[in-house]
Amino acid sequence: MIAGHLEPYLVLSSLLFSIGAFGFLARRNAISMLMSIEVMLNAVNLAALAFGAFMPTLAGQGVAFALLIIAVAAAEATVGLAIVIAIYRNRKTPLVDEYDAMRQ
Amino acid sequence: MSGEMMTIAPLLTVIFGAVAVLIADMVVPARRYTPIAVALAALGAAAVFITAQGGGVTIALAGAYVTGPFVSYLGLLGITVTTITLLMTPDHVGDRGYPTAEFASILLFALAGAILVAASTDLVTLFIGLELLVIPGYLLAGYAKRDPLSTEGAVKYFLLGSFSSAILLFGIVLLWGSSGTASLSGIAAALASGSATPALAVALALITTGASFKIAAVPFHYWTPDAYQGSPTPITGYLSVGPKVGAFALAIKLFLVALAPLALLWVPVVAVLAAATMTLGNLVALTQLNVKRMLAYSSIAHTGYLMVGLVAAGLGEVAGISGILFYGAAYAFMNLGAFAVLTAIQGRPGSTTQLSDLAGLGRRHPLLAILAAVFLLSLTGIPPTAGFFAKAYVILAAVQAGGAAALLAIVAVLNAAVAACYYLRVIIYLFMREPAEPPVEVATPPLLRIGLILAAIGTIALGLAPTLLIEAVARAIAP
Amino acid sequence: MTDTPLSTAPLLLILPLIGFAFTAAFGRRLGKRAHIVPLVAIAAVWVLAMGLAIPALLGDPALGGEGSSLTLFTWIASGDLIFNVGIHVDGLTGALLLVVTSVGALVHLYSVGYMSHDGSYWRFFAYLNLFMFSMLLLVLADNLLVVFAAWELVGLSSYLLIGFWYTKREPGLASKKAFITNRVGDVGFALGLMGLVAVFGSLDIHTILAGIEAGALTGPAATVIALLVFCGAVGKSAQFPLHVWLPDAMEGPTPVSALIHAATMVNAGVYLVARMSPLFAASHEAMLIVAAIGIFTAIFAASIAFTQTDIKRVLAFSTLSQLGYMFAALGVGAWIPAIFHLITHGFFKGLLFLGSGSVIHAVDGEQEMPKMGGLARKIPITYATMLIGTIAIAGLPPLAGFWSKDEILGEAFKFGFGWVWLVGLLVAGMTAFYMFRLMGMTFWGESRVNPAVHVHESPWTMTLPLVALAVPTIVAGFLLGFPFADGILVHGLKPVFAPANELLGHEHEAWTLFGIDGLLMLASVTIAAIGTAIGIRLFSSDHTQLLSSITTRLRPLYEGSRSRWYFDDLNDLVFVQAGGRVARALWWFDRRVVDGAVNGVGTIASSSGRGLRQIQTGRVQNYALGIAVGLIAMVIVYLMVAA
Repeated sequence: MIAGHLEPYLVLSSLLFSIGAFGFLARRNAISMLMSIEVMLNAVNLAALAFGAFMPTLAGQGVAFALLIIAVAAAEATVGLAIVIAIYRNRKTPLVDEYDAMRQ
Repeated sequence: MSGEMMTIAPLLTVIFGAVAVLIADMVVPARRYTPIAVALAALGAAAVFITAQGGGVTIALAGAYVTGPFVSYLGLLGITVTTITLLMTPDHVGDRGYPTAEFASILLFALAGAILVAASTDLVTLFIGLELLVIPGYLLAGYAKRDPLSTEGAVKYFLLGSFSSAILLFGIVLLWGSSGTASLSGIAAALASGSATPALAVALALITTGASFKIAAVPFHYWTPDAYQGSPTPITGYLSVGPKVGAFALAIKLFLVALAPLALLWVPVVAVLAAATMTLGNLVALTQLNVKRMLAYSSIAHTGYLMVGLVAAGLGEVAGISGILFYGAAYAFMNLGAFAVLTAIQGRPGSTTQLSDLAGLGRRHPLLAILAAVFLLSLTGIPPTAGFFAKAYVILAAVQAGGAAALLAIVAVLNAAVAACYYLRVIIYLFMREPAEPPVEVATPPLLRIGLILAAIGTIALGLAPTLLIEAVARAIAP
Repeated sequence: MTDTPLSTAPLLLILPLIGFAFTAAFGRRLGKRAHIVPLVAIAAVWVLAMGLAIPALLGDPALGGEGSSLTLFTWIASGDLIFNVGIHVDGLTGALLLVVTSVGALVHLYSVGYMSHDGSYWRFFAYLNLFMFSMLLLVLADNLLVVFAAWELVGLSSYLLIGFWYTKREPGLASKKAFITNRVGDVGFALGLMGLVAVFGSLDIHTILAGIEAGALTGPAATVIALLVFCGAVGKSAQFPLHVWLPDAMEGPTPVSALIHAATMVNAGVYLVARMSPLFAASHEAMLIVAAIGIFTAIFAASIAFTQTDIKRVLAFSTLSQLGYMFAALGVGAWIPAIFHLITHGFFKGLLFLGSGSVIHAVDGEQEMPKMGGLARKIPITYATMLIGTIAIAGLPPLAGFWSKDEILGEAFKFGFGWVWLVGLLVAGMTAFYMFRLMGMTFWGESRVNPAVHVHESPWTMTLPLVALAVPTIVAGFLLGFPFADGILVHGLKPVFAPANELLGHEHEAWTLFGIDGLLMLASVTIAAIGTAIGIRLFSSDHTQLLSSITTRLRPLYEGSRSRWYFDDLNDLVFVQAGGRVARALWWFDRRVVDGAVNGVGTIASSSGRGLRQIQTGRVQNYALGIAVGLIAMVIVYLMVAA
């Protein structure tokens, strides 16, 4: 058990998540968007760790959950970078709003 | 083999198969069919293991992985979908200069994810399974890496998919934390005794959004048309079926097991989404002249019909779940079949899938055109094809559930009538228009032929003798 | 209930299905022998069907009365939603089997000759067998879900057959229109079925009918459900305002018109309403609407038939009109006369369509009557048999049409529907008129045929079905309907409609020759004779020679009702000038307004689709924003609902 309350951690986690989501909406560069998603996932990690630390029934589970999320995030980032590199080769730009050959 | 090993044997077989495909490709490099053969062998072995389990309930991985008739059903369905995809794809991507080994391997990993989703009993395993199901999808969408459209679709799919995964994950963690357990049934028990807190409401919203994205429900469907249009055609067929059916397995687990006590909260929301999904999918499909993109919108509409089953099940009508399972199988056969036909008319690399490309196919390739008509009629819901019973199943379940579901059933019937128009238009082009000049190049290599025939057999057999599958469905949902 | 009498019934479905599968698979290789398997299959079906239909109609203890059922398989959709899929045979099924298999078998034979020059000979027979399977499934099924499946399937096979000559533009458009218009009706039908599931938790016909008899469905609910089911019937049987597809469907090969658009599929709607008679009887309003739509279609279509010059279109509008008659009969509760007319109409309209096909064959594909004329002596068998059909449809005794039409009008009057009777009487006269107009323009007078065409009688495979259909056209009315109100059909069908009659409170009265019935009969015969006389008068230039047989028989009426100067002018004024104008106006209304509305629905759907597709901008940011907005909306909704 650690000192303090669960709520501040959750508030911080929500803020981080919102910042990540805002970044995803606001950035045009595919790499920046990928990084924003990482921020969102780490916000979730924080929430998972906080729950694990403060909820007696979840003791120990939080760490395991967070580790798995990190693994998933790594896999996602790998795949994402590969795809971004592929389209960069085709289009010579990382700006996603120029990828609009398909619409309607 | 120990009991635990036997339980997870199908999953392990598929994962080892995925690795074996890559090893085989290293040993005998650059063969088009060797990886496919290895992958098919792995699928066969997995199917044997599932059959050997006989639908019995067994537990593995400390209770995180529990098999049973439901898992067997979805496992065999997943194997069927993967098999047909493996048959459709190698010549199409091979002719365009892409390797088949990576494709086969990625596809098997996705299948492993689907099996994991079906067998999971807790939120963590469920999420891992989902990611294992969808991440290969991003890779497959961008498989034609030198094709600007394929990579564009993949980027959109990947970015939005990861965004929605993060949203779903946040919801899952909130649900896990506020109910104090990861077990799906444990959550249901906790929710049944507790009250709806704001944190729970937020978790529910996040989960609904994330899950709606994965099944491609309106208004979270935007990625679908672009990712589907850009991907190599047989892969589009897979993307429109595999991840969707897997995501519905996830929805069943989340909404009908864990969140069942909150049904009063989510049923109206899902019902509204279902109505919007069917209607938007069908109306926009009416305006499409590219058949691939039209089928993308039509697959959105089919998501809507499947959601009708979800709503019915949420109101306590078990036929809703069996409807989803039956619909999933019918949809797999008919949609894969339709995409197999599109694959065949793209015999030459660089060819398109415009409606006009299909003109006069009935004259020059009558058999292919007849198969196309069968798939399209099934998608429309005309008997005696699988699509008719699939629609009848979910709609009747909704009527039986009554209330909001009955209204939804009416929307579904009206939508089915609209859908007839655009499917029919394709049939008219197939049989009643002069062939395009110069005619499109049709290629039906042997594997694609087998895939087409399998899809056609499934589509017609489920239409003529739906009881074949209905009994399996009934076993799958039996408590 | 015992299953034994129905042991052969599944073969009725299996044989055409085998014929279809075999021909679809191997037909191309068989070339001109492709018809053998389908033809043998349907001949066997006919024999088997007679073995069921005749005992059923004669009130055989095993098949008559309540009928007999055979469960094929059970689908447990959920714990309390169970579908027993099976076959049911009773008097009503028997009546339908009689028409469907007889006309079906003869049309198969006829097609051997008619389609012999067609490159896709095998495809035609494959479709025909598929159609027969669907139609038989429709009449045999004991579960509305199966009926609905068969309903869609007959629509599909008719779609394939209308568009058979798909290389031409019109058949393609016509088949599309037929399919889509039917879908509109089917939506109503499907919604009606959903209502029935909601009320009874089943689509088993017996469960539903038993429930209605027990009073489980009354009031507005009954009206709504009955009308929704009726929507399906309106679509399939081409009643106003969903009739637009049938005249266009004449673009299909003529045997198809005879089989599907005259004798079988279009009757499916009549069958459905008759089968669900207690459902309709439970709602006075629904019955009234059925009667009104029926009788309106009858007069509307008859008036349009006046001005048509395409021989098949005249017959198509005539079919609409006669189907309207049947619905009017159903609407007034004259169930048995409606089915009676279904049978007789199936025979004589099938005959007329096949005859028209023979005419078209003779004049080398010409369908416009102004380019015919004087064909009577050149194609005598076709002429003689079509004349029999025309007399029958005109309602002149003693041919089949007289018996059934007279019963409809008589019962309409006796059940207190004077307006139905009056309009029906008028339509009877109009029918006689335009049918003799058709005969006159085609067969009598001077030949206007292109001299380059060698007019020839059709081969035996085509004339034999004509002769074979002429037999029931002459005798079916008498055999089934005599003595009046007490004939075979009345006995065979009375148990089927007893529940509906009980709900309506209809008593079956004795028929009186020297009472009201005799008077009504005299009225309908008189009006038919007047119509006939006018038709002959206007459309035969040398009637003394060619029409001696007819005019001699009708001479007293013909001479008596005709006052030369007065009639010529009046005829011209009423029928040619005013009648023509009204008919043209109705034709315009039909093409522009009704047809336009049907097309308009499609336009609205696709323009809203075009609007909706604008949200797909192609940009990831816009999509992500859409997802975020959706998420926020959902959070708000859930928070509000939870609070």
